[in-house]
Amino acid sequence: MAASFCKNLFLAAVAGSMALLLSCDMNLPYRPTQFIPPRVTVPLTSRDMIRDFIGLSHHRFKLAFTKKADQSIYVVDFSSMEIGRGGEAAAPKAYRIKNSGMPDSPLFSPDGSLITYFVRSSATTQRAYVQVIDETSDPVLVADQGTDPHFWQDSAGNLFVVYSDKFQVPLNALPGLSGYATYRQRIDPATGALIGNRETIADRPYNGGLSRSGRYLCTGYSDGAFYDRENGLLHRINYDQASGGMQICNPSISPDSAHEDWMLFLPFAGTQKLDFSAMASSPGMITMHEYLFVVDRENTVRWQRPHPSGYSQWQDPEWSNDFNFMVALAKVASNESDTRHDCFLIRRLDQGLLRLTTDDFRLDDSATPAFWISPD
Amino acid sequence: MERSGSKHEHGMMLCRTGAAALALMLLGLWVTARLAHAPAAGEFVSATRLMPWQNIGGCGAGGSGGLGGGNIKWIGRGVSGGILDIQAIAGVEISQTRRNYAFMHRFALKPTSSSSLALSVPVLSKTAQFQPQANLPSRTEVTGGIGDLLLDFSQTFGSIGQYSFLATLMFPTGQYDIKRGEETGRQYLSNILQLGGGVYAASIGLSYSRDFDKGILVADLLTTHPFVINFSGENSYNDETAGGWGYATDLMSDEEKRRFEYYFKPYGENDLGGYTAPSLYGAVYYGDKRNSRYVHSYGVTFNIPLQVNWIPNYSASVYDPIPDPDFWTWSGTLQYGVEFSNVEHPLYLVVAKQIHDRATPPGQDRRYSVEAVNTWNGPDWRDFAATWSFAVGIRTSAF
Repeated sequence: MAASFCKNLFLAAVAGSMALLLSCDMNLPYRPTQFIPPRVTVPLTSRDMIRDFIGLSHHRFKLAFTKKADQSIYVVDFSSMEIGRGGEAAAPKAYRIKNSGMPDSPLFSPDGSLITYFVRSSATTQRAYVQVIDETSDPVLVADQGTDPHFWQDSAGNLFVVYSDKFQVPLNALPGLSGYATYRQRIDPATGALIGNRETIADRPYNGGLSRSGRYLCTGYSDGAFYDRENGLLHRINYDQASGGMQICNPSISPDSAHEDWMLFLPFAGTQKLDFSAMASSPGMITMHEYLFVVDRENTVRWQRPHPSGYSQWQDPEWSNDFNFMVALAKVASNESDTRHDCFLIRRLDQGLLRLTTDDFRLDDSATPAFWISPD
Repeated sequence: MERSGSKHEHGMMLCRTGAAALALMLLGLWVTARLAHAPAAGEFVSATRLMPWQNIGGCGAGGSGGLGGGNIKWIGRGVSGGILDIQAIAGVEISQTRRNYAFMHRFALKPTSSSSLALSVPVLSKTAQFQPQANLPSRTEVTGGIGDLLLDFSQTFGSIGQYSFLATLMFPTGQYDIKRGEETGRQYLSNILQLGGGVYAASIGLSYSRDFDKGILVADLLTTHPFVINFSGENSYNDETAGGWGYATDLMSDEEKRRFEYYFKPYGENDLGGYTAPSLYGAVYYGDKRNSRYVHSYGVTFNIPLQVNWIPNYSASVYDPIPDPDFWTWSGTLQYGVEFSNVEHPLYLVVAKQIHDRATPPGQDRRYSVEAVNTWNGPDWRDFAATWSFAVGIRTSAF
């Protein structure tokens, strides 16, 4: 009888505990939710200083850069800067967008709402993406084999991504290189979704972007050149017939319609094979990444700027969407193991510099920054 | 999604009450065990006397994925006489896009004549199609290794030993963060290719068996509750210096911070954000023992997760879990087995068919919606027709 009583008690306890455990589960104290990463405060230069430097008091500014440590893209909207307790502008917040793999070379859309970049999975595999700039939107794959994507907008306001399928062209190999091409893919300006099929716009890979009218493509890595889509002519830069070309990096086509056959780039060490006749002087023999140059399709230098004093070299220059402003990194130390870089906003007209980063916040050597200024 | 304070308090109160009931149950267990009837020699010993070989909870608890959804059970006369019971079962699961091999070894001791304590060690080999995005090509991936270890205890009681109390504890020894791909674009493989779930899981339940002249009926009912322990207190995947995500936890809410800094979580959320829901498991088996040489058995199981499972983002660069788009609101197994009875070395052959509801993958704009995937549907007949599990097992007794 005792055993029967205990058995019944036991069964009741088991059944009761199961029921209660189930009810615990049913009430489910924990429910997973979507994770949205918090915005990180980044001590950059203030919005007011940028406004003073640019001279546009009512405009908005954004900076994008990559971070090697966490393989992410950060976007800083300087309009989101809060006012501190003392009335001073507090540091802006950077939000981290979702991406898959180590991103490279982010660029803003004309209205600043989208970003395009590529992920370099290996020496031969790069994937181009576009996505809405916020913490929750997912990247949209533009091309499974696509490198150095740039935005381009036609006269009707349709938005495209221009990219090629070859990341690095061996020096002096571009004219004979076949099997690769440059493409243009239309996208939805609100979501980045692809619209229709891509269009082949050149039968060689050009990685520096498409000019405003759509006539010129430019490239580097390693061969520098302009391609005129109107007549199919290739204009090689930093090149002479006798000895061939010199390697250039980070080609960035001018955003201006009146100067659409201009290109910004980063040179290698040596005496450049450029025409300096339009400049006051030629720099002669230069060290690695000592200068930034802007050249036209006739190989004539239209602008040049040495790195600021106290730094060892330039890195990752990029034209903003405003013809008068560029952005670039400057390496803090000379030894290779120190990857700290400051980010500078460059004013083309007088070569003025504004340091965007601070001693408390610097970028790494692969940050590939981009800067956007609102059109109005 | 915020949860009201009163609801949280209500839930915690019920859970505390449940813990008290569990303590009472264990006390009753101890008392009853002292008075329980031990089976006499020569009685038909159903597999429930000894903790049956099974992967408790199947896909729900950890996802180490035994055969037939982890719900294959040996019904037969078994072996007797030794202190140590050893079972080894090898099987294969074949489906449209995957092929899994599992080698399950179970070592059981009998502390008393009516109780059993066992350790199960699964070794798995998995091959499946992997397609992280719809617009990327599908590719075949292979994984292999030890799955999640299972410790189980059973205590028989009742006038004729017809009841068994069951308790299991699963350890996250199977790898759950297997990645593939290029160095700058590593991707986590899907759950079906992982060897474990990255969570502990505790189950308790009851088994009831009833002997007839010609057969035996066995019924099981268990509830499983996953949880997580982190001995270091830090989610190692967030360590930026080691190439991790580097999320700043000081800016997070307490609940969000617990994803990256914790010692214990009373729920099954692993460090990649994959969430294993508590679940309910039930099974009914009938063994035909008319022939002294064979035991034919027929079984039906069901498994119901009590919440939607979540899976990690395939990209190793971000912490971005989503509700599992292939979530099954219910699943089960239909099993036929035959034991070639032998006092010392019985042999068991089994074929099983997994049945589950049709998943409802949401669109891209609803990928974070639990409601979008938590839809009860009819059976996925296509997968039912294409998925087969076969296994062969042997048992012996030692010492």
